[in-house]
Amino acid sequence: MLHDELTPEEREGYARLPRERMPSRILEERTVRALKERGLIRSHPGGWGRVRPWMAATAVAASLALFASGLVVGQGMGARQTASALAAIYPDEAARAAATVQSTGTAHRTALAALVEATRSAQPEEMERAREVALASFWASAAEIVRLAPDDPLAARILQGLERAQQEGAGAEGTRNVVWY
Amino acid sequence: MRRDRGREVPDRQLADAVLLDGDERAFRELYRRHTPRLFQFVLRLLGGVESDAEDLVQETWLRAVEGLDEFRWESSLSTWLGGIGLNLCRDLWRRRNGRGLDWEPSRDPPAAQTPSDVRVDLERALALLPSGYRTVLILHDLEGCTHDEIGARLGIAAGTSKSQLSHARRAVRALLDPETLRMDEFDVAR
Repeated sequence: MLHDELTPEEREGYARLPRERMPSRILEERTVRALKERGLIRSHPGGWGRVRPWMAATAVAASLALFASGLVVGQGMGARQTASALAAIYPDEAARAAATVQSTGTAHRTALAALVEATRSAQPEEMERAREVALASFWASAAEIVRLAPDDPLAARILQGLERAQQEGAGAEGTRNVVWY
Repeated sequence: MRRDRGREVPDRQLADAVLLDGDERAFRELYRRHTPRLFQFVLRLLGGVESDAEDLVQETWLRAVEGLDEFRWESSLSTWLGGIGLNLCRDLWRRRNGRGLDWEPSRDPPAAQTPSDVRVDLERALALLPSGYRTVLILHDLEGCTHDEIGARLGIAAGTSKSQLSHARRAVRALLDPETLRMDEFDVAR
């Protein structure tokens, strides 16, 4: 027979192969930039697409500040810091947005340092939670910097490293598509 | 694969926003909706070379947006993108080897990558196939295309598609179980 039929095991093996895989976030930014350079798409000034990166980055930083300060100096102080950070957002003005990133970045670093101190006496579960929060913030920041400057090699490498670590983690936990005949 | 679109904005509405207004947000939505499938498809066609696959996905989107006004919506956007991706893969192979799809299994054996006593998994076996075998097998056994459709997409006869699929399946079996490898079928494990 010329056309060998698949065995049920083979059919199952092919069916189990993943049909989707998201490439690096950098590719989306590269593609958007290339389309803009050709005049095929354009940003909408003042729209949600322009506001979101700064709001997201700032909100993440503010959230981390709230979390860490809650551990160290209490919820009241943390709430005031968060409110202050959010009140400072003017995403339609690049200079003020950059200043907001700088100030919340300083708060971010301070909060991380406080977090390190706090976790030294924390329970393992609390330390794990704190690590997750810190990494999530770091990841979100890297993603937004790549959106801001898709060609920046340092940001790209950081994001690629984080994505690779996530894929390896998912791969270790998932089932390998190995078929033995 | 069918997505549960729920209350998602239809592809055509987003595509119109891109075409008529150059709407970046609409493009990003389309990109995020269709790129995972497109990327996996071309990545597999290219034998797992991520950098090539990323370049090709970007070029696919550029060509798609440029040609959006000519797309008649007689197939799904996903199918159309896959077709563009496949053609770009063939262009890439043609530029690199001067022939396009490679149907010759034993000319360039990846023996150094695949010791004869090491079993490989299915994904790796597909990556080790010559591009012609791999393309036909992916289109038929993974994407569900008929031989007539494969023939039309690759510019070959349906009968050629059938015979190449047969060779491809045997080659995969040989790669997955080198102990039963028939050297006259596929010369990759020598």
